[in-house]
Amino acid sequence: MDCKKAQRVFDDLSHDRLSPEDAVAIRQHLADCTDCRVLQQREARLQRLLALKRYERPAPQYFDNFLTEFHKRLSVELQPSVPWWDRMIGGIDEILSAESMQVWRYALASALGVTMIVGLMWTGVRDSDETNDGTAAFTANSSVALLSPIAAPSSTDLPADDQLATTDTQPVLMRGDAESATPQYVLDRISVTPASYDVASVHF
Amino acid sequence: MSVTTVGRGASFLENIDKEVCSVYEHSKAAIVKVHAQRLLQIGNLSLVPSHRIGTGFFIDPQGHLLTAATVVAEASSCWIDWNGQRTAVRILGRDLQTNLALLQIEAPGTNIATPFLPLGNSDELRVGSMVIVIGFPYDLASSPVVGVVGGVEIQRGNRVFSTSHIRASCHLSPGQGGGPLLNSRGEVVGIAVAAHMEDQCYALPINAARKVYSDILQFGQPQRAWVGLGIAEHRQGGAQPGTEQSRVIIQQVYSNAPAADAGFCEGDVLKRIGTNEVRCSADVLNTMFFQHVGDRLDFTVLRGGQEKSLSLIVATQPTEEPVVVHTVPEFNFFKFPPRPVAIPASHEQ
Repeated sequence: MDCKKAQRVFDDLSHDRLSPEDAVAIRQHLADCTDCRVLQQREARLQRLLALKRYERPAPQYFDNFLTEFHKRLSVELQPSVPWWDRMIGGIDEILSAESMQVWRYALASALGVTMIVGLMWTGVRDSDETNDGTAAFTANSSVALLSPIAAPSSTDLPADDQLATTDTQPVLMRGDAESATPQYVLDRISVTPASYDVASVHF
Repeated sequence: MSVTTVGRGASFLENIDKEVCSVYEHSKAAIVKVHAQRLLQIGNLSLVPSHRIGTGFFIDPQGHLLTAATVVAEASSCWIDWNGQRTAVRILGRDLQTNLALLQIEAPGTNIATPFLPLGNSDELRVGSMVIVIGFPYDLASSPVVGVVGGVEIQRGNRVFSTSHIRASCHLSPGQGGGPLLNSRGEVVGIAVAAHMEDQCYALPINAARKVYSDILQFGQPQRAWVGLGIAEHRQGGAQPGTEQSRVIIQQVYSNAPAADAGFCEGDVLKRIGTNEVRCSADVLNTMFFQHVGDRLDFTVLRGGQEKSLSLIVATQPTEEPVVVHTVPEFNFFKFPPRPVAIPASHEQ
């Protein structure tokens, strides 16, 4: 049997519409011909997928007001959407370009600049203070904990300076440390929604 | 408070009371609160976007701890509250599929013997066995929760576990995730990894956890056995999985996989893996979970009405999506009732 003839009757083969003799001949051909075998498998898979497809039909009133609805949606989608930052910058620009604001424009810009510089300097000072004090105090406690976990730490039995070395993975006290983040107490929950897939089909 | 005791019932309850108190007293020293913190570093500024708290427990005197992977997921630093102090721990490995993480306390240059819980055998559990979960609910002290085993399940809702889990009637609260599930002898038989509804919890069996943390200790990550087969479960007449009417049929054979080399064909009915009978997909998942990469594995399949033995060497799961090769069985087309089988979208490319 040649390939063209075999490929014409794949559909009949999968639906058992062939005579037993023809079916045996086709299957014999499939055993010998890789190209036909691949084609036949693809067709079978396609049919399986088509069988899963739903036939969808719109509601009866869908076409009643179709054109009006269509134009309404089209006009909404064609309207340009202006992002919030564009609107904000536009608003500020409008205020500053007003006649009465001409004099104050430079004063306002200078004030903003000074405020930012002072803020950054203040943040830097606080950062270094907290890191210096906090790390030293915490390291002392952790070293005690690691060397003798049974003994409770006290302010009088701090180890010597050479014992204060920390390892990379030890937690370091810092800005916004654990206390500032709201703790999340963990317990994974299993959803009660129905299974979207089944354990019946797995790959391993 | 005075309690009136009546006959034998009171003595029975008293015995339970003593047992639970005894298990709790013997176990509590080895159960700790685990903290995990994720940091964002922006220049000099460190932000703490999350601080997660769960429960963990020591499994040996070397300071190895088990907890739920969701407690320490994506954590950049981790510590435990132990003996009233904050002790740093490092994450040796975590497995999100089984929701298990292995940690170890940081104690360089010291040989601290940590208290630890003895590990039991989760296969000995039966439906109705009494179990105790100990954990830290919210910011409270460690608390025991008593329940009974309700079953062993591999799927609940939209969650499919990688191996069967113990379902117990324990009302757990947030913070108790990762706590040990103890039997009446005080041995760990599971790890509480999830809660379901109000009063059900799911625990990873300790026998499965052993496999995962042994892999982590040996290879740094869990090893997933892979043979390269896609299977589908067929049940006749709405039969329950695992019954005589259900069977597992090979649907896909992946190229360049051990199964393709061993001669598996689409349409083969899987009967046995090793000595384990296969009647449903859960049997396959449970058997494959415990296989080690590199081990020889014997399969028995039904092809053309005759049993056939096939052997292969278990490989590790490929990181890339494998290609499906379609093989035609020896023209013994199976005549199963027409039942559409959903094919995962990832395999339809």
